[in-house]
Amino acid sequence: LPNVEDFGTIGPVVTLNLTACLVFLTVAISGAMIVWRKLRDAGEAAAGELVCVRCRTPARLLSPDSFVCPGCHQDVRQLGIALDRPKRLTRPFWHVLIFSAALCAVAMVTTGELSSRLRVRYVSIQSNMQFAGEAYQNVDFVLTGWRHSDGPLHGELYADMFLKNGQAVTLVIDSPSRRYRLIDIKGHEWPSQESIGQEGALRWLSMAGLDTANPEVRQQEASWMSARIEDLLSGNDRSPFGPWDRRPRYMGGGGGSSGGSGDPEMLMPSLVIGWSLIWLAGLTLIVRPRATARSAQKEATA
Amino acid sequence: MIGSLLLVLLVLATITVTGLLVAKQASRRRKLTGPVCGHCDYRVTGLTTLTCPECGGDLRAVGIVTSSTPTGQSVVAGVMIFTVLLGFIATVATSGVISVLPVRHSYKRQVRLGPVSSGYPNVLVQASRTSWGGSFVPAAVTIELEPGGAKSTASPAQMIVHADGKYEFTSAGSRVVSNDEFGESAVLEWLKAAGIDTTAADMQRKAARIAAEARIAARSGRAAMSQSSGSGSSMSSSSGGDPADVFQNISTSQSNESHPPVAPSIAIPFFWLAVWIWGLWYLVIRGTRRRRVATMVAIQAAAT
Repeated sequence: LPNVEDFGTIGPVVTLNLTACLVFLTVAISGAMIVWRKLRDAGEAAAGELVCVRCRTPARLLSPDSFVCPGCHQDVRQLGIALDRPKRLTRPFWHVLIFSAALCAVAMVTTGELSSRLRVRYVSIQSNMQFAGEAYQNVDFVLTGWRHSDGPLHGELYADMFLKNGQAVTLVIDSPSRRYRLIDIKGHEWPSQESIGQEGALRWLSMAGLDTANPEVRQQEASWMSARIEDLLSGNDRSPFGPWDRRPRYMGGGGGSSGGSGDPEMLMPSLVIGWSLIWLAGLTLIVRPRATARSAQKEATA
Repeated sequence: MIGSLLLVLLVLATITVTGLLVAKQASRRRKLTGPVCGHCDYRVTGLTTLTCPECGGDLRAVGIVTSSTPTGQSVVAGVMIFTVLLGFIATVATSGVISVLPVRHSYKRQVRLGPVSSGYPNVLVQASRTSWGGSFVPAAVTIELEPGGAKSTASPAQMIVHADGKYEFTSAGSRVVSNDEFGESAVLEWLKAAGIDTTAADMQRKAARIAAEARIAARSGRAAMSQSSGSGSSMSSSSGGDPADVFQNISTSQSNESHPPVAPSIAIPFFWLAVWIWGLWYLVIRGTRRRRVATMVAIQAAAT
């Protein structure tokens, strides 16, 4: 059993997933009860009773000591006594089954189509750059998020700049808004309402102790860093480590990426909820009117 | 695995049941040389009353089967069609449900930094988190000094940094719980309590690096905790260091695992198996039996 503490703070995606599970379960139970109750009465009411196979005279009208059918005056031993219109007995059952299968087919096709149209690519990139002769030793980038094929990234980029004295200052950029916040050496956050750019990179370098009044810092380091960040955020195929020739104090680096494509997180739970409710509504419509009308008619005739 | 096994069992059961039904009907057809009782197949030729001498059933209620009476072949076809349609419904519905089941994710990050001092070659900064896909919150971080060397008499020392930024550690047998915010000075305090000379020139830099790594570890694992990361496991590690760095040896390893809940994957095949058995029962047995009972009641009511 899951540990309650493992759930942590329930977010919107998990809430929707749990809601979808709950809706599906409720609809399945409700549907089963509807089908059970309706089939129990409706099927029997719709089907005929045992009759003479030739003239469909009810078998109950036969005299207990005679095999002569009162309707056609033939010997029922030669004709047989069988259920009248036996297919009617299972007709509601088949209606429910065929409706469910048809809805599943429609759901499968439309879900597949929606999934392929809305498919997103989940991205997780880590890279590390080491420098010599700078106030900082290395910078670690961690990017997580998702994007449509040609759309902007939805996620966050963390850039940790490790200084020579062991301290670290962090730049956090939200995408696609590009708004950033800085985390200083003591772990305090400094949010900004501005979009990241050369000025944002300068603020980050300034927090790391660099002299941002220095034209070299302003022109080279800040613009180079902001360009690398833009490359990562925009999913540029260009290596986030290059171009090396313009960065002489770069010593090396490494990194890796992982990811895959999949449905947007909200898509499947929304579809499960939608199709479950449609199935229940359709089921109610299919079972109720025909069965009750025929049942009432039968009862009135009886 | 269990789901696949049950699917195979379902297919085998379908084949067996339909085979038995076909065989039974074929056998009955072969044997049928004249009109028989609908309940026990007793020949009714020559009877003088509508009561079967074999089973005692009223022939008006149990029926009389002749070679021209519709047989149960339609039932066999019905069972096969029902099984195919139900299999399709089960496949689509199950894949939908499975896709929205919350997945349990676990993530662990370890960063080993060294050397710290002569008695402690390494310090291990690690954070682990387990989640069912909930919102991302900072994790608690454990920092351990690893004693090493054959002559080392240093004892392991541990510091725990809680998710709210508070920290605690054990010093000289007593537990120190601090309400101060975690940072470089907290690490220095802990190192000093562990017997390390913190006045050394590079110790402040090392403490700063340990504190920085702890902060990063507390917020790491965002991608691994996502519901979209699916199921499976992965591990990555890197190591390196620089003589000019605060620590010459730095190795980082991260691992994450994702497990969908086990119970639904077992319960769902059983659910569909139950639906299938109910459908068979409805198609094959229930209708005719209840109809015969109803006819019998009608006859008895007419007689009285």
